[in-house]
Amino acid sequence: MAIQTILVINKSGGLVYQRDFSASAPRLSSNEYLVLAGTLQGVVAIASQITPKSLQITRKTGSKSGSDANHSSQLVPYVGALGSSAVPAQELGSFMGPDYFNEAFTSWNTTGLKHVTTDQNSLFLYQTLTGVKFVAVSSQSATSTMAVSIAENLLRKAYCLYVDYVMKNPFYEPEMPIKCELFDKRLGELVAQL
Amino acid sequence: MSHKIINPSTSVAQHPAPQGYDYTIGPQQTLPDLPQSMGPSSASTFASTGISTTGPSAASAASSTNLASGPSVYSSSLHPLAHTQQVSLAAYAFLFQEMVAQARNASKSVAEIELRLHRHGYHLGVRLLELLNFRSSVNASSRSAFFKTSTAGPSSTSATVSSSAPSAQLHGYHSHGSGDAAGATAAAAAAAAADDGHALAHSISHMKRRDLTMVEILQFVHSTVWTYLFGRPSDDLVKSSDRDNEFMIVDHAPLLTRFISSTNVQCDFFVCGVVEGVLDSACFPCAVTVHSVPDDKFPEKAVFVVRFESAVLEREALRA
Amino acid sequence: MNSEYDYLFKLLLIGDSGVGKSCLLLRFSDDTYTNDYISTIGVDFKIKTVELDGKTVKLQIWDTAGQERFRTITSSYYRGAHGIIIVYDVTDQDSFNDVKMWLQEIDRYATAGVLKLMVGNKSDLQDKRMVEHDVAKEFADSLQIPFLETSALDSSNVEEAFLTMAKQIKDSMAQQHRDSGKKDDKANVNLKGQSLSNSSGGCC
Repeated sequence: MAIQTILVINKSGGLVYQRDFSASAPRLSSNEYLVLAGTLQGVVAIASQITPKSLQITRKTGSKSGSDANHSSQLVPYVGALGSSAVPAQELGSFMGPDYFNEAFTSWNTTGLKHVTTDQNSLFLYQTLTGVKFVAVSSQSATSTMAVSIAENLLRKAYCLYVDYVMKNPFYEPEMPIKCELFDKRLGELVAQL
Repeated sequence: MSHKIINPSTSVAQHPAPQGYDYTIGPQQTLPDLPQSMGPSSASTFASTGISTTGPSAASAASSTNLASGPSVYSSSLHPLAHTQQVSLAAYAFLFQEMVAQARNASKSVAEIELRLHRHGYHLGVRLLELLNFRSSVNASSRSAFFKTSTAGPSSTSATVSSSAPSAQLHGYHSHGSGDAAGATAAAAAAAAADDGHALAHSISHMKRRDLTMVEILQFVHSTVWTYLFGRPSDDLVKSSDRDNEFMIVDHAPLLTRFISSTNVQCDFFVCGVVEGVLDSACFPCAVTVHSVPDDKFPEKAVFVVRFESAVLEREALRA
Repeated sequence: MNSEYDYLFKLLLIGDSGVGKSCLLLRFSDDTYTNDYISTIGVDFKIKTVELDGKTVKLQIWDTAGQERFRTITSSYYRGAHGIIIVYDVTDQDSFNDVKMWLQEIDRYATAGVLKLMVGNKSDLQDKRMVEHDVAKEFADSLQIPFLETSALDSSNVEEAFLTMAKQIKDSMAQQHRDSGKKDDKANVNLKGQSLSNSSGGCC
């Protein structure tokens, strides 16, 4: 799965980070990316509106009890292949394990948009509890559940990096564009390992 | 349940230590004058009270092995509870980032931010010298007696009120040193200690020899201070080939600034302040600066340059 | 580094439909593309790049046109907004009366202490004027909200208002950080030397 672009959208829908990872990435101006980010924000909000409330509630209780049949469908399997192998364990920020996580996890995004697929591209969206959104644009039309969970694993790792290298940086202004070399670097390493 | 990204994992204890430092347990470094014979596995089980990143279970495991094998007084607090009170790196990083942010908000220039950080560190250094020298002066016998009782300490009050003099003294000391969960136990022990009329100072037969040369005091900073603060000794101690009064302490990956992307502000000036505070109050007046010297292997490498005043050099020449 | 802007401010434009929010925005903004797809989901964006104290600031203005249909998701538009501009039509008394309602929405959804601005649009239509300037001014003063009248014909006032708002936001965000000046670092530092710790590490 070739990742073309990774975006980070803050909780108010502003684009705070955008980075291209391949030459084939769509050439959009920064203003166009800003509009894309704001649009996604609106689409996610609408998606959560049109998700039936009953579905949202069952999913939530399902993940709590852990035994519900619904539960398994909400679990994102852990994909170990990406991430840690090339990086020594102590490099993983404040988390000292060999990887930030190593088991299946429950997606926090129970009501919103998760991916958009066209014939040419796929767009994956990972939403955190606080409303920060991590978006990956891939050059393949990926519809398989596997591709979706790989993307979710990748973006979740990107979130881990964000928490370490952006939020712990005293020179970062919250909610403003991210300009942190270390975050750039680590994210580059992460994507390169795909 | 599976969202472990916030809490450090507890499953990390099994990872083999890379370069003499197991971040799950603490520094494994055998410090220069450490008694090697204290326990069969002492070299590998020292706990650190500095910045270590262990989860609760690993921490308690580490502390129990400590008590059995006798830890280094260099790296551990005398307080028995301190062995489980390890600081999370994330918490530490957030605290440091807030300190930098405050310094930044109060300052008008880069130099001023660095000066503020430097001052914060200086105060810490002055206190640290006292503490670390004190700790390294507690001799082996009082130390082992102390650790014997401290194993029993938290479990029952009666056990801590021991008849043996050294242990009671040590507990008396604890109650000053902490206001923690074991407060009741410590208070009882403190009362017992007060009855005995002893103080910890009595059990120190001789203080650690003072560091008199530049190299000695720098070794102290390089190993003891660094291990206390960052859980490992610094990566290198270098003497300048050009200037007699200049030494360099090399840290390949400064812990404090691990998450801070390099800017024009050198946040490691805090550590400069600590080093300068230690050296100044040890009567080695000097100026410490930091320079980042990234190389391919260690992109975050920092070099702390210690420049002693000429009086120190003259004094050393007289001694020699 | 990747992004060519240092700050991103979110401004929100609200008010009854037909008061000319989009028109006002079109006047102000340099980028004038509109996209049907975007307007169908209830919000349009205009982005204006300005320079403030040597920093590049992007003002992303969220124009919530036609949003009655999407009233349920309004909160997501208000979220994290730095400044909110309430627009009414000077020729339409109802739109002015509704300003109170919009202010309630702000209180409900937006962050406390968000900057507000009240704008009376279409001031060139003097003969059809229903809302007197003094009345609106008094109302705005009582709420301590800056107020101005404008029209699509004369947008200079608006530009000023937007920029003042941007400046206020920036000033309220953080103090002026002057850590951009590069120090001359290694000028008099010689880092060559001989390691002491490897050779004599064991004897201290």
